[in-house]
Amino acid sequence: MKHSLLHILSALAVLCAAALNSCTGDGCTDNSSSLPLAHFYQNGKAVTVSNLSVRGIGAPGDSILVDNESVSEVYLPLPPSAKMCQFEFNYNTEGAPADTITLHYTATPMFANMDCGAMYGFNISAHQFTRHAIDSVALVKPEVTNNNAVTLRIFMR
Amino acid sequence: MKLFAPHILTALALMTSTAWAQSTEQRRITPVKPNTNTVLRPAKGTKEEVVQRYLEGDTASAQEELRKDSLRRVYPRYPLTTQASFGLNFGDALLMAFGQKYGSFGVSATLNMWNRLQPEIELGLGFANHTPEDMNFTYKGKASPYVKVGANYNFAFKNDPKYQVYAGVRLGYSSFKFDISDVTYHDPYWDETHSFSINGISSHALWGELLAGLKVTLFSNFALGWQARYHGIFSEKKNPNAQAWFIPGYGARDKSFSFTMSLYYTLPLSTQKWPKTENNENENGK
Repeated sequence: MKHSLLHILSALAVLCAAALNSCTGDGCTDNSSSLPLAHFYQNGKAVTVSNLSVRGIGAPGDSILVDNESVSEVYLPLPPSAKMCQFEFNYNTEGAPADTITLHYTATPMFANMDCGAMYGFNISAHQFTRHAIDSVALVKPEVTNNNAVTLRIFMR
Repeated sequence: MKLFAPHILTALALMTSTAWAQSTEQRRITPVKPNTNTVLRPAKGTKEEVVQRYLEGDTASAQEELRKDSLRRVYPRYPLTTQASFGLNFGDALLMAFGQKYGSFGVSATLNMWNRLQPEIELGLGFANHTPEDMNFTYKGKASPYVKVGANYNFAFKNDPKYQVYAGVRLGYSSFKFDISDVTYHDPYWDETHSFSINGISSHALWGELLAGLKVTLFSNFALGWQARYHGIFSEKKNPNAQAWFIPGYGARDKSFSFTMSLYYTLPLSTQKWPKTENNENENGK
């Protein structure tokens, strides 16, 4: 009787632990890549920019990030192999020349967690921009990780 | 005759009212149990010397001794050093057979004081090796030491120490290293693929545990124990480019509960001071 009880208790403990162990995490609630996030502002307020196209200069196949859409924010992926990257902001309007934002950065390997995995993190050291439709660009957070923190604030004219 | 009639009627009325008043007063009296002068005999099994003291008229000290004696029967008092136990935590070996990718193995030393309070120290090593499905890395926790100190409170302190039901607290600390290796990272926009490893990341953590457990003697001095633990990290060294997933002695950081299973070797101490129970009387008789 005593040994039966011992076996039952052992089996229960192992099964409970195995059941708990089999539970997976909540999944990756952030991004699986480190992406700088830019928000648009005008007169100090968040705005949506219409007919905007955004692309990384030199991206394979001239791949476009935003294709003639109305957006209030845009992710600007950085290539880990480079130290500088340029993005073109085309407003698709006659007489409105495109703007360019240049970011200088260093890429560092990082491990976010078991759900989001390993990736590159970035540290933006400097930035430049043209001033056609853009009034100014503020670097809010130079460290770029996989969370959804705002990196840049783009103030439009 | 006419003159006597009012006097007789008045006298009858007075007697009736007096009788009624008396009966009312009697009803208010609370009955009192008469003193029967019963002699309280000492309880069966009382020591002969206490009975003698009682018979000699020293009832005060005899009654005090009787009270202590009955308390001893209700709360058997084990000595300060009742037992010393040495344990081997092997629960993670079973869980690894069920697919757990990490393990902590340790030894423990426990002093059972009064069969109630049990200070304990645990020392061990923990390691991890996990390549999650559909992920781009391997997590390797190098074998690193941990230490835990704390105490249990045995709720079954009235019973034989062979069977214990307890709750406890622990404070744990580990200094450890881990690697993130075999990483393959693909950037779909720039169409770049990179391979890298982050090696030799060092960290340390301090955590606390609340636990509930059972301990059952199997045979001779060997016992088996089960513990359910709830734990939380108090502080840890944070690295800017990697957060530890596995902490030796704690387990996976994303799990608040864990189970441990241990085999104990128990050394009875001061057995001559143990209260007499049917079990140990029989054992002594053997």
